[in-house]
Amino acid sequence: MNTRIRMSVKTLLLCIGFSAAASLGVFSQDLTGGEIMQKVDDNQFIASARIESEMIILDRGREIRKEMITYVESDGDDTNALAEFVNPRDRGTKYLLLGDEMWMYFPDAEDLVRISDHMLRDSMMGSDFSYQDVLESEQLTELYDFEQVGMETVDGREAYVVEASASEGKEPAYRYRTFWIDAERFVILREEMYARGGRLLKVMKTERVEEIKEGRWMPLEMVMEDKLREGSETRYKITSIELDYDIPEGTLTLEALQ
Amino acid sequence: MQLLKIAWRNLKRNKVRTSIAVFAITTVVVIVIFSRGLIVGFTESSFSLYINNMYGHVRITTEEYDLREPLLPLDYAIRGLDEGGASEMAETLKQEIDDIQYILPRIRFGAMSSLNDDVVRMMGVGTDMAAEAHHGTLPDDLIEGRMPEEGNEILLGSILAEKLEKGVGERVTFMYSDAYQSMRGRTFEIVGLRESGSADLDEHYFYLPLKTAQDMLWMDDEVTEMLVFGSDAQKADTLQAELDAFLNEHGAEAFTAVTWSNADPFVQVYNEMDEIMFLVYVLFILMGTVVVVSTLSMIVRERTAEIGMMGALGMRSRDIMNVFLLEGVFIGIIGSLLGVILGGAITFYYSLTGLRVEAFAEITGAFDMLMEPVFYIAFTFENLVVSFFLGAAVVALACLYPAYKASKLKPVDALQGRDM
Amino acid sequence: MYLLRIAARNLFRRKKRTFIIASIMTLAVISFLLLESMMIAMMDMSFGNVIDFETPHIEIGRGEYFAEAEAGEILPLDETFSPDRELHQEIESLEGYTAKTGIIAFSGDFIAGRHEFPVQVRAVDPGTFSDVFRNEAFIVEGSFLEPGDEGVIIGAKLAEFFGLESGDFYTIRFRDADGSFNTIQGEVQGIVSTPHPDVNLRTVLVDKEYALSPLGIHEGEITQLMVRMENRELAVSQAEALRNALGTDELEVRSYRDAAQYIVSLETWGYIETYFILALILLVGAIGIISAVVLSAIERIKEIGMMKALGLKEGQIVRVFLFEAGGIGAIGAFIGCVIGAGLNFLFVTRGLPLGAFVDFSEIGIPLEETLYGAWNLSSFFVIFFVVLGISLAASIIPAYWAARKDPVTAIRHT
Repeated sequence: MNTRIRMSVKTLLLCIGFSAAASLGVFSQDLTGGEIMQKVDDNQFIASARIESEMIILDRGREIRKEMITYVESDGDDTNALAEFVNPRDRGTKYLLLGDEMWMYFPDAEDLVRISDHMLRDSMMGSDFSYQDVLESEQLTELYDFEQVGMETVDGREAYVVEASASEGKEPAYRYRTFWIDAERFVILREEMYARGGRLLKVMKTERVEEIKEGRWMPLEMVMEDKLREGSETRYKITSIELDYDIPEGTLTLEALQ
Repeated sequence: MQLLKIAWRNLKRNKVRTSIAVFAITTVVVIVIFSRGLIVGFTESSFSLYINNMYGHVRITTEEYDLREPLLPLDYAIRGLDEGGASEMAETLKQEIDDIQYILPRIRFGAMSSLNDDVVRMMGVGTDMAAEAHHGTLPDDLIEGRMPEEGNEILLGSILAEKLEKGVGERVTFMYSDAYQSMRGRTFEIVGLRESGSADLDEHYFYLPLKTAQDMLWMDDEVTEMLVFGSDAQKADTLQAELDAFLNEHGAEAFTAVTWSNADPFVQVYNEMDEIMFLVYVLFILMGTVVVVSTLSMIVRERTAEIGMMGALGMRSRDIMNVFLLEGVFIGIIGSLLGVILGGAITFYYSLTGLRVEAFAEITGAFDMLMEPVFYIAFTFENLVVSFFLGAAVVALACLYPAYKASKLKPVDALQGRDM
Repeated sequence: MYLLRIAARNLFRRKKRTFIIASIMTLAVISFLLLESMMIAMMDMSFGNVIDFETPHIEIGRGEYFAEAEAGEILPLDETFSPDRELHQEIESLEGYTAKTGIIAFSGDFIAGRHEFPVQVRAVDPGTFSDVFRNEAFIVEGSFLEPGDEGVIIGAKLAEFFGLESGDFYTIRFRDADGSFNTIQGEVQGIVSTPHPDVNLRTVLVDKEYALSPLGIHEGEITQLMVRMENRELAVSQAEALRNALGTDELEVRSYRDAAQYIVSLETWGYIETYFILALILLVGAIGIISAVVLSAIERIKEIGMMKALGLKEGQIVRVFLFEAGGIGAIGAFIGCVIGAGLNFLFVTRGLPLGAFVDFSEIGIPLEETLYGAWNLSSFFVIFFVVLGISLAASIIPAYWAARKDPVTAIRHT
């Protein structure tokens, strides 16, 4: 039950996916919430990439470090990704995302473990995020209705403020979210996740953004805080990212996982 | 000497009377011995599951672990005295405290397994298999296969195995969180099945070698708890005091040692209640005494004619009393001896095999029991010796009064068969 | 009957002996009655805990709800039901019905400071809750719930874990009926220390009115309907009656025994132990009877011989001895029942102070310090006839042996 927040493949995707659109400098306040998120969504599109990242979890005074290498590819509709832990303690453990199914590989286990329906509500690796939460974050535009409510300055950048609430008939884990999106680069600078009753549950802040490729900005360091518990936060750092990476054939398959 | 011969001859002369007396004494002694074994066995078996599987006589954990126990917090494990390692700590304790007979170090952790679309949750216990084999009760509960020895071998509770639809020789994959909250998975080989009689244990627990658990959980030379055993569960308080003193002396205040009876408030109450059982034992002795006394006094009473004759022949009152006393002593020793031999044999036999009371349970209309209806009888020589001396003493004393009365009888009255 | 009178006269003639043997049976009877009373008392105490704080005499809910709860899964908020008038009436018409209250029980994480702990939260109706459960009586700090309160009642162990006092801030995070995260928060209104250790750690009480909206549940819906009855026996029988009356597949009716499997098993074990000991006690008594009959036979050999000479058949002589033995057993049992009843009366009214055995200050939870006995009338009858039966049975063989004595040798054996 320790709420150390672990990076999941999906959250990683989510975080790193939002990048600047090819078109720059459109400070249009006429963009609707939905349009803004769509732009962000479009810009997060990664055809393929290889990413090295690090996660530092702070909980009740203890610091735990994890390192991973992730391969991700997407055709716009489905995303597949493979994340492998490379820090000493977790070395060999892998997560594979195929569409909307998640699998796990453990070096000491002879079979793969699929995250079954019953496990969806379980927390992932002891974090606050359940597997379900993770799968949901891929489908933001499908789960929420967005409304642009103004502009604010965040860390010296002009940002759209977009409020999201669960769409009719949809039941995401976080009923309300608020996004602060860099109006120029379409990178999420800050995200707040709320409980149904309006209580602030989690906050994600982007601490470092870099231009990876011409015109494409990506957040490379983020901090996620659990607002209900004191002294609990997780820091994500991307140490290297190669876009349009040539992923070897068959890497993102179940067979490769074993 | 003369009196001895007279007493002996009296006994031989009336075989029926003597046999009845001996029969009564023997049977009573047998019952007293058996009931003691039964009562002590009750206490032991009521709590043995609890003691052997959960607490030992005294359980050592860190204070933080004790407070958060329901969460099974692996990060508050025992790392040893001055972080010197759990195994060294166990050795030190064994050396420094004489009362310790053995220590079972353990790691408990939560685990789960996917079965089709369901999730089966369970508790894993890493334990020192060599120590268990020697001292513990796990080997006694084996119903199939063998104890895990090393590597990824596990012992499954019988009901858990059913739930997982696996058997001995098969392999199964479990997931668990290590001490750093990383999700891990590992495939194990089921080498044995265990049935303790307690549904809770058999449905939720599996056991594996301590080293494997430490390896799996990244807990090098750490354990979550140590089950310390002395010679007697009832003397756990002394043991706990000694452990406490030692731990405090060595600056290890972060540890806490708790006796099994204090761990759960209800166990404590039940334990004290069990001491009432001792009164029941006293009751048996009391009743047995009444039976013996009445038998003997009846015997003496109907020999009034004989007494009168002895008096008429010139025997002194004191000698008459002594003759009866000696008769009593003879009967007492013979009866007690036979009782001890027979009672000892019966108790010994059942202490090994256990007394199955299913038929009895059915008669009393017992409903679904979570445990096997078996009584465990405790066999101790102490029981036999005490019962022997009790028997002989009671009989001798029982003879005193009637013997005295007999001696006081006037020959005239006695010969006429007048009652005393 | 002529033979009976002979037997009665014999017993009367040897009063001392009669009473000594009878006293064995008396002791047996008294011990059994008291042992049983004590055991029932202890069971009352154990079950009482479950009934007062956890699952009352009768519990009604959806089958699926109970199934998930038993499997150790998170309590499903979508398995609620709305009890209709018919259900309420059925329950109220049960024999021994005392009170009922509806609760919504759900799983949550209690969070304060840097820690969190999984708890079971019960959204209750303060008006009727205390008619069924006794948590309120064990408040040690703060106050109990009133309708509309936003505070919670937590157990002393949980308060200790978090270092909380009444008035301190709390948050509970849970998933509402749609599966979305939600919270309830406010102040700790009160802290209870009950005799039920698990309740002291894991159970949190909150007002239903306050919790309905965050939970996303409609007014009137509950997860369980809890019913208190007059006593335990009625609870089991009436639960069965209710089950039959309702006959639905969806709703399941359970008694406290279904929730307290472990204690039920303990109880069974206790009964078996007590009866076995009793059997041994009766065995000792039987020995006494046997020796009494044999010795009295030897003593009255002349008499037996004379009886035969007078024309009494062996069968009739046997019967005389049997009646005597039966008489001893009956007298012993009767006196035993009388004394046993007297002692039990004291036990029931005054109770046995457990403080003599257990150091209650060490325990840390408020257990009852006095054990009060219970009456079980059927036991009195049962034990009387059992003792009578044993006395008769034990005397059969010695009686036949006595009756067989040859009159000629008998008379000569003066």
